[in-house]
Amino acid sequence: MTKSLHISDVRAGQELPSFKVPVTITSVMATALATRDYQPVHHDLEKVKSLGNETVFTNTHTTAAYLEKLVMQWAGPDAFLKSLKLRLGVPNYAGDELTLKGKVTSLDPLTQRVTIAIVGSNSRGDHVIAELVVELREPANV
Amino acid sequence: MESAVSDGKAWIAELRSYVGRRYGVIHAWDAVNASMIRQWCEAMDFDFAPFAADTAADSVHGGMVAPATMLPVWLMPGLRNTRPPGSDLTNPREVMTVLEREGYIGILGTNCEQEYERYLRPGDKISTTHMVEAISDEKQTKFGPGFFITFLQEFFDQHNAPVGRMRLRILRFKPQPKVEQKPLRPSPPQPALSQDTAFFWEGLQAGKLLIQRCAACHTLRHPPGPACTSCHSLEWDTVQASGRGKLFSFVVMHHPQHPAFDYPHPVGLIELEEGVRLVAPLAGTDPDVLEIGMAMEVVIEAVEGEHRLPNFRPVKKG
Amino acid sequence: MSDFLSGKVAIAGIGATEFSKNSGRTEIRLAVEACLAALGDAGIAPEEVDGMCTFTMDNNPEMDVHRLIGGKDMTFFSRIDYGGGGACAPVLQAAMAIATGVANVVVCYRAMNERSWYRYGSGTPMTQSPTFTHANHYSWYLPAGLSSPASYVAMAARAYMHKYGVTSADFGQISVVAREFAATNPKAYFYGKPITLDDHQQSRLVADPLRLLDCCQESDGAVALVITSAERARSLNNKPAIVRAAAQGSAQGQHRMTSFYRNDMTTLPEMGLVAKQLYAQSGLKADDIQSAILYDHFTPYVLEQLEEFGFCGRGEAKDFVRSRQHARGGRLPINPNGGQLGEAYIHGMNGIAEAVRQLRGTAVNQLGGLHNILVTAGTGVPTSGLILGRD
Repeated sequence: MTKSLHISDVRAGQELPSFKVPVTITSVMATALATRDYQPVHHDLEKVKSLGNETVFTNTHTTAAYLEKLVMQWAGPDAFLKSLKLRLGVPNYAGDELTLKGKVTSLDPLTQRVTIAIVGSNSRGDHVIAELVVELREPANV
Repeated sequence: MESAVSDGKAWIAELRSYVGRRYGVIHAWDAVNASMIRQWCEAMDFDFAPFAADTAADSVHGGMVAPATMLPVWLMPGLRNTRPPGSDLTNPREVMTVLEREGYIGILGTNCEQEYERYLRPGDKISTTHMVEAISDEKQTKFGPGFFITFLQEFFDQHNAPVGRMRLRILRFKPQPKVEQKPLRPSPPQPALSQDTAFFWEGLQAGKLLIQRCAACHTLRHPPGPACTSCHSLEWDTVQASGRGKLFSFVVMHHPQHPAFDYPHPVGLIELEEGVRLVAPLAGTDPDVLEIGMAMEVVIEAVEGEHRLPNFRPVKKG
Repeated sequence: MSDFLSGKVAIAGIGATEFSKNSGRTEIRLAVEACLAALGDAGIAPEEVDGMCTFTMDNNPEMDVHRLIGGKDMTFFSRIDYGGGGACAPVLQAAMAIATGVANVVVCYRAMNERSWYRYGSGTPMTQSPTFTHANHYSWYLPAGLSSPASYVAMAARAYMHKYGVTSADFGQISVVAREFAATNPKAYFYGKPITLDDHQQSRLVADPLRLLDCCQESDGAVALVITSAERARSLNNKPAIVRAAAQGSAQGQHRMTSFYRNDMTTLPEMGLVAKQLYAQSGLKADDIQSAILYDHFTPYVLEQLEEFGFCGRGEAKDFVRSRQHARGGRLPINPNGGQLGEAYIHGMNGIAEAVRQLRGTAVNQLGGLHNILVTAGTGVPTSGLILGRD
C-alpha cells in the first residue's frame, strides 16, 4: 500500500510530481458522462463549433478531478482533501495536452494542513489556476 | 482586464432582486454508490485505494469513500433535466433568464470553489440547496460586457448534516463581433503619474510637449517638480515646447532589453531650444548617424491607453 | 580646517566572507559571518558592540544582525541611502557616534546575494505608485528604455568623451589595471585572469559607449568593519587605520544616477564636495595621498574622480591612465585589490577593507611607502569618502 505523506516531509516551495493528460474527444466525452454532464459542448462537435469553439472541451468537474488526482497521488491515501478553489483560463480542447504542476505554498504543522498552488496549462496557455488544501492525518493504525 | 461600465437601466433592479435569493431542497437521483465512483475513476484514469472497494478497508477511512470533487456530481440534473420526487421545482438559476432576455447570451464558468466537511460513503443520500450569492456590476471583459454571477450550493446528507459547499462564478456576456487587430507591441514601461507630473503625460496624449514653468519667475524646469529651485514659488504653469532642440548626449542600449523597443535602441538627452533637457527615445534612427550637437525634432506618438515619452529624430538636412 | 573627527577614531577590525556568484546561504548569514570575522580580527567581543550601521539597500536589519552576533545593548543604529554612494558614509556615521560618545564600538556591514538572489544590472523595476518619489524619478528614464545603472553612466560618459577626447580604450585602462591587481589576489573573483586592452575593446557593448568590461561584476558576499576610538584601537590586535577624514556630499542639481541637467555634465560636483571636505578635515592634499580606492562600478567615473580629487587637471585623467599612473608602480596605484571590476562588487565595502590592509601592511598586492589612502563611494549619486592613514 502506498505510503502517505507526513507533515514533516513537506516544505514550503516543494514541487509536486507533475503529470500530463492527453485530451481526446473520447476522454472529453467519457469524463463528461462520468460527471453526469450532458452539455453539448462536451460531445457534440457540430454544436460546439457553431458556438465559436474549435472543438469539444473538458468540463469544470473534470478539471477539479485532475486537481484532486495531482494532490492526492502526492499526499497519499491517508490524506483528506479539504477545499479547492479554481479559476478557469483558456479552454481545455480535445487534441491538446494538459500539464498540471503543483507547488506547496504554505503548511501549518498544528492542523497538518498543506496549501498547494496548481497551474494546469495546455498549448493555448493556462487552463486552470487553483489552490487546494489537504490535511495530512496520522494513520490510525500506526 | 475588467472595468466597470456604468449602467442605469431599469432591468438592473430586477437583476439585483435575485441577490440573496434562496431555493429549496433538491435531492440526488442516486445514493452515493460504488459503480459511479468506479466509472469516475476510470474516466479520470485515477486509481486510488480509498476509492476502490477492494483496497479501501486498509485506508484511514476504513472503507470505500467517494472522491471529494464528485460532490456536485451526485446532484447533476442528468439528461432529462428532471428532479427526483420531493425536490423543489423552482429553477435555482432563473436569474440567468433575465440576462439571456437582455442579450447576455454568452456563458462562461470562471471560478469554482469547493469545501468538504467529510468524505461521502456509499449509501449516503445527498441533497442540495442553492442561493444567488452575488451579482457583479456590469464589467467590460475581453468577451464583451457582462455580469459575474456567484451561486452558492450547499450539500447535506440524509441526516441533514452539511457535507460540503460549492461556489460557482459564471460570466454571462454579450458576445462582441471580433475585430481584427494587428498584433501590438507591448507598451514601454509606464510612468508613475503624480499631481506634480501628470500635466506632462496628459499633454503628450494631446500631442503637445509641455514644459513646466514657474508662475512667479518664469524659469522653465524639467523633470517637473512641485517648486521652483530659483525663487521657491509653488505656483506653476506650462508652456508648449517647439519640439526642436539638439542632441546633448546619447546612449545606444544593447542590454537589458525591453520588448517595446528594437535593439540596438538609441536614447538621447535632448536640450530643447527653450533651454531645458529631457531624456527621450530616438527609435527609428540609425545610431551610427547620431552626433552630439546635431539638430533634433520631436515626433509625438499618442497611443490610446498608454503613456510614451516623445520620440526625437535628427532634423533632415537641406 | 575642522579637527572634530580627524584622528579621533580608527578602523580596528575587518572581516569578510568569500566573494562568489552564488554564496549558497542567506544574506543575514553572510552579514553575521562578516561581522564576527571583523570582531575577531579586532579582538573585540561581540557583547561590546553598541552601534551598527549599514546601507538602506542592505536587507539585513541592524537589530537582527546585532542580536545574532550576540550583541546586548545597542545605542546607535543608522542607514545611508543612495546605493554605493553610501559606502564610506557608515564609517562617517560611526566616527561621529564614537567622537560624540553616543557609541563605543560600531560595526559597519554590507551583505548581499546581489548575483544569486537579484541583479542590479538587469534594470530598475518600474512601480507605478505615484506615492513614491522613487517611481516618479524613474518615470523620466524607464519609458525611454534607459533602465540600468550602466545606461545612466553611459549618458554622462558620452558627454565626457566628447568634451575631452576621451576614448573607450581610456576607460579600458581602468579595467586592465583592475584585472592586473585581481589576477594576483587569491580572494578576487578574477584571480589569475588578467585581460588585455584588446579584450576590453572586443567585449560586447552593453550601453554604448559602455562595454561589458567597463562594468563591475555582480557578486555575493559580505564585508564588515569595526570602528572604535583611536585610543582603544591602539590597544588592540592590529595597527589601527586612523580615520583622517570622512565626508558625505550631495551637490546642486543632484539626481539619483541621472544628474543630466547641470550646465556641465562632465564633472562629479558631489565628489568634488567630498574631496574639499576630506582635504580640509585632514589637512592633507592630493600630493599626500599615495594610493586610492576609487569606486569603480563603471570605468568612466574613475577618470572623473581622479580629476575631482586633483590628481590631475580637468580632462587630463585620460593622460594619467594612458601613462599607467594608476597601475602598480605608478603615481597613484588605484584599487590594488582589483576593485569591484576585479575582486568583487560588495558596494564598495571591500575597498575600505583593502585600504585597511594596505595601511597595516598585510595586503596581497602590498604597496610601499604608504601613509594615507583615499577611499571613495559610489559615483553619480550622493556619495561619501574617507582618508585613512597610518597612526
